Amino acid sequence: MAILDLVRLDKHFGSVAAVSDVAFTVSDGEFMCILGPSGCGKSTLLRMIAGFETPTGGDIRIDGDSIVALGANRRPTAMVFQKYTLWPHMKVFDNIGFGLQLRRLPRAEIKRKVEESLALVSLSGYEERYPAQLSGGQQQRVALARALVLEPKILLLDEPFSSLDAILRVRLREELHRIQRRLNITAIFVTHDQEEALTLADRIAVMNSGRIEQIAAPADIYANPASLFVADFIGAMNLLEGEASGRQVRLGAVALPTPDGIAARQVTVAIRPEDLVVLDGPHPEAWSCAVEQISDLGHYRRAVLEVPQLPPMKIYLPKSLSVQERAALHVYPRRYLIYENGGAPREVSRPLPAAAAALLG
Amino acid sequence: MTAAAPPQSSPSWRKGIIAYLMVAPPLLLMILLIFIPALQSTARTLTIDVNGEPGFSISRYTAFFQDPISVSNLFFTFQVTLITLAAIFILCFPLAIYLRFATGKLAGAVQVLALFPLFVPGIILAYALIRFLGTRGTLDNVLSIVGFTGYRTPYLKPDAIIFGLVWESIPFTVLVLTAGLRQISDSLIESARDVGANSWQIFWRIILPQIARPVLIVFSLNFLGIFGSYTIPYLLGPAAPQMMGVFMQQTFGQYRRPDDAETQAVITFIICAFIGFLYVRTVATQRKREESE
Amino acid sequence: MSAQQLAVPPPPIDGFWSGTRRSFQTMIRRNGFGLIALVLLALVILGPLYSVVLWAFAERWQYPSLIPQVFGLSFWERTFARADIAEALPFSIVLAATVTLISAVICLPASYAFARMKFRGRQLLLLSFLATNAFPRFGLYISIAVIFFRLNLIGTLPGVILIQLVNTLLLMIWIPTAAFQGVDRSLEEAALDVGASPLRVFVQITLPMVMPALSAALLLTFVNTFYEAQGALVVGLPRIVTMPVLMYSLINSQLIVQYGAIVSLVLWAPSLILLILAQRLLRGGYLTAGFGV
Ligand SMILES: Nc1ncnc2c1ncn2[C@@H]1O[C@H](COP(=O)(O)OP(=O)(O)O)[C@@H](O)[C@H]1O
Ligand SMILES: [Mg+2]
Repeated sequence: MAILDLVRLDKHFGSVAAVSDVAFTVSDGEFMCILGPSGCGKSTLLRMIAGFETPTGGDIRIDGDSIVALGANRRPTAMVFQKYTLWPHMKVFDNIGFGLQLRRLPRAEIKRKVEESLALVSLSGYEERYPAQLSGGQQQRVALARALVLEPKILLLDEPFSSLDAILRVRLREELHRIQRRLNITAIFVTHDQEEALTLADRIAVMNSGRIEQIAAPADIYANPASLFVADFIGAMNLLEGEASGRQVRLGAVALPTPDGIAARQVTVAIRPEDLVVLDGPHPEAWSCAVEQISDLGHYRRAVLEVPQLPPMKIYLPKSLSVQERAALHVYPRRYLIYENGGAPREVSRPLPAAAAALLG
Repeated sequence: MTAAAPPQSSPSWRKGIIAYLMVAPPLLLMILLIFIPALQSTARTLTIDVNGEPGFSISRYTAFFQDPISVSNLFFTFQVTLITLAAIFILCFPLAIYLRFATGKLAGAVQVLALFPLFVPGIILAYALIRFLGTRGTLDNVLSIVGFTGYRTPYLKPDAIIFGLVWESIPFTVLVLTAGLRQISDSLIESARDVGANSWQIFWRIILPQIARPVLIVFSLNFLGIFGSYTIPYLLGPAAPQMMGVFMQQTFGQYRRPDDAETQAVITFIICAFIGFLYVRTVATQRKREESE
Repeated sequence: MSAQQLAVPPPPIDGFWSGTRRSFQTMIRRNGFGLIALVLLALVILGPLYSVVLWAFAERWQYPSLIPQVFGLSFWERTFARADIAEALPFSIVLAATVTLISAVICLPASYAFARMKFRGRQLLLLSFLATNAFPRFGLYISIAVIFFRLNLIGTLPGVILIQLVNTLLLMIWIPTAAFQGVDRSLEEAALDVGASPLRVFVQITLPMVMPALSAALLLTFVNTFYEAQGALVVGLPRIVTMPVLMYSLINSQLIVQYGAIVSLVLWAPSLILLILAQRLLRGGYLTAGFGV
């Protein structure tokens, strides 16, 4: 039941600007992911909200009240850390109950709450174990229970599953999702793993070098990356450098039309692999290319195409399309984004050319 | 980095002060009881009273080196130190190598024995060695029972000092060397063997360079420990020549000549300065390497 | 001791890695080395202690015999009836406890600062405590004694406490510093996060986790100080006589052998505690921490 406001938040360590001018609002019950490459300032941002770092500028508000002056121990936030941070000298029960004991809750109530929260993370009956007797996944579940038992207004998670193996990571991710929905708690989840962000988040904030590049729902971010960085960082993308002149962009030996004039000469065209359509034959508007390499990924195949004078391009091929390596293909970019220096892209979406048919497009 | 943080410099500055206040007491104690005495002694031994004014002079040192007893004591200390060091390495190197690579009950028993002296304080050791090595001591006793009657005790001879000092140094030396050897992985040695190196080459080319630091630490600490020893040479050694520790204590405590004792002390400082520096530098670089890992 | 067997490294190394080939031959050689080392070490390490233990319970032991002719405890009574021993023993215990306590009060805050606070020169100051080992010890004591002489601290309790404190610094700072550094900060942050005050975090999270190391540091400091004889000898006499200092005179000028043996045995008790805890102390690396390694 809480709204978090970040107001022009800044943090620098000496001359290193770890977080610059970050401002956004997380609404009640929302699951917000902060996504960005390692070292971009995600942890620093989260640690400022938790109270482990003091901002050098800006404000943090929960339900309208600034919490910057409060120490970490006074804030209505709870954090799950990246590393296993259960206290090794305390049993699971005491690890979870510690915060409740500090609040001088009656014994019976502490017991009830600890049991409840353990049930929530599917670890009922583990009260008497020591952390060293738990697996990594179980430890992180206890850490989650420890954070949730205090009924925080905001739940903060800093890459909580990154030290677990791939299968466990997916399982715990789903479990977290279920718990968050059930408790309807406001949560901020930091990760460098886009898949994690895309599956969990109501909204994603993409961060780069201390700044927010884009905040939007996962589908939005995927369809309309607001910057070249986001386009490159999220999902597979073909990025092609080109020169704009008149109503077209020249890309090596080929060209793409633009809807209206572009001021800048140097632009970058971004094409999702799935927006490259394979045509059934040569066409003046299609690009002729050779299949460089095919990897079979189960339900579909990914191919790398060689287009003359362009970098290798990724494309997805349906399993039904029987194409061998070195075969010639004719592809047609159906949708693409044109990025000028900085700024939002122009989106171009166009129908298949007349008299051409997609090969199972 | 700390300098370039103007907005929040005041709290971190205050934190710095608190940190300095916390480290100050032991630091002051060390300065007062180590650096100042050492420096002051050095300064005082280089000054004499010239008509009520202090003046520079090395007369105290010339006096020391003109006195045959002093010189022979210093020479004796050197001799004992070097022989003891050689004996320590000759004994402890094979032991450490054995303990690094051998497993099982026998190796465990050897280790327990080699480390045992760690738990025998020097003063008790001195007493025990007198009873063990002395005339009609345990060794003499055992030998006479097996029919050997010509036992000549090393007690009150230099040999007893060396025996006692080696005895004391075994555990520390073995511990440090074994720990150093454990840092060398089996695969490193196996791959050297793989390319055709024999044991001797492996020892010189692979093992030794890798444990240079532990060897330096053991060497320097044992050197300093032996050179600055007192209990063992005083209780087990001859009345003359004496090791410097015994000599200094006699000069200071018995003859009540603190000035001369001070000169003797400073001479041991000067001789050991390089070794002490070597010790500090070796430990410091080792710590830095560990910290950066 | 038979240098032939111990001095030459290659034969024992030879087999440790070659594994399968020549394994039988090398196994014999390896075990041969271990066996010889065991026998020699047992003789040399345990022999002296054997004499002490038997002498402590001997009424009469005449040469040549492997064991005393008459066992008995009558000398124990006579030993503790001596005024000097009855006085020195409790005094030594109280003194060692006092020095340990003062050392802890001075050094523990410093070690916390070294581990957890940022300040200029942190690393250098921490390393500077190695200086306590970098001097030939007895020379340093003489140097300190000369200053104490002028300050009238010779033969006083404060003088003895001060000189013994110097020896405790390195251990009491380095072990706790490493322990505090070993506590992951995010464990403390997690406790802050659930609402614990900084003080409570220290008491309930940090302290329990460094407790093993702190107890080891306290125990080792107590035992080392209890056995410290040389500093106390130089600075304490004639008025302050600790138990180890008393041992010097018991050894040197006492015709009754049993006194020394009994006192040695009694004095050995603190070391026995270390011996019992030896495995844990070794595993934590505490036994060599006093040397900076
Ligand atoms: N305590 C600190 N002191 C100095 N620099 C720091 C500190 N914490 C983080 N940084 C720097 O701030 C930047 C962002 O770090 P961080 O927030 O941990 O990134 P992320 O969590 O996205 O990987 C990095 O360049 C890092 O080196
Ligand atoms: Mg991070």
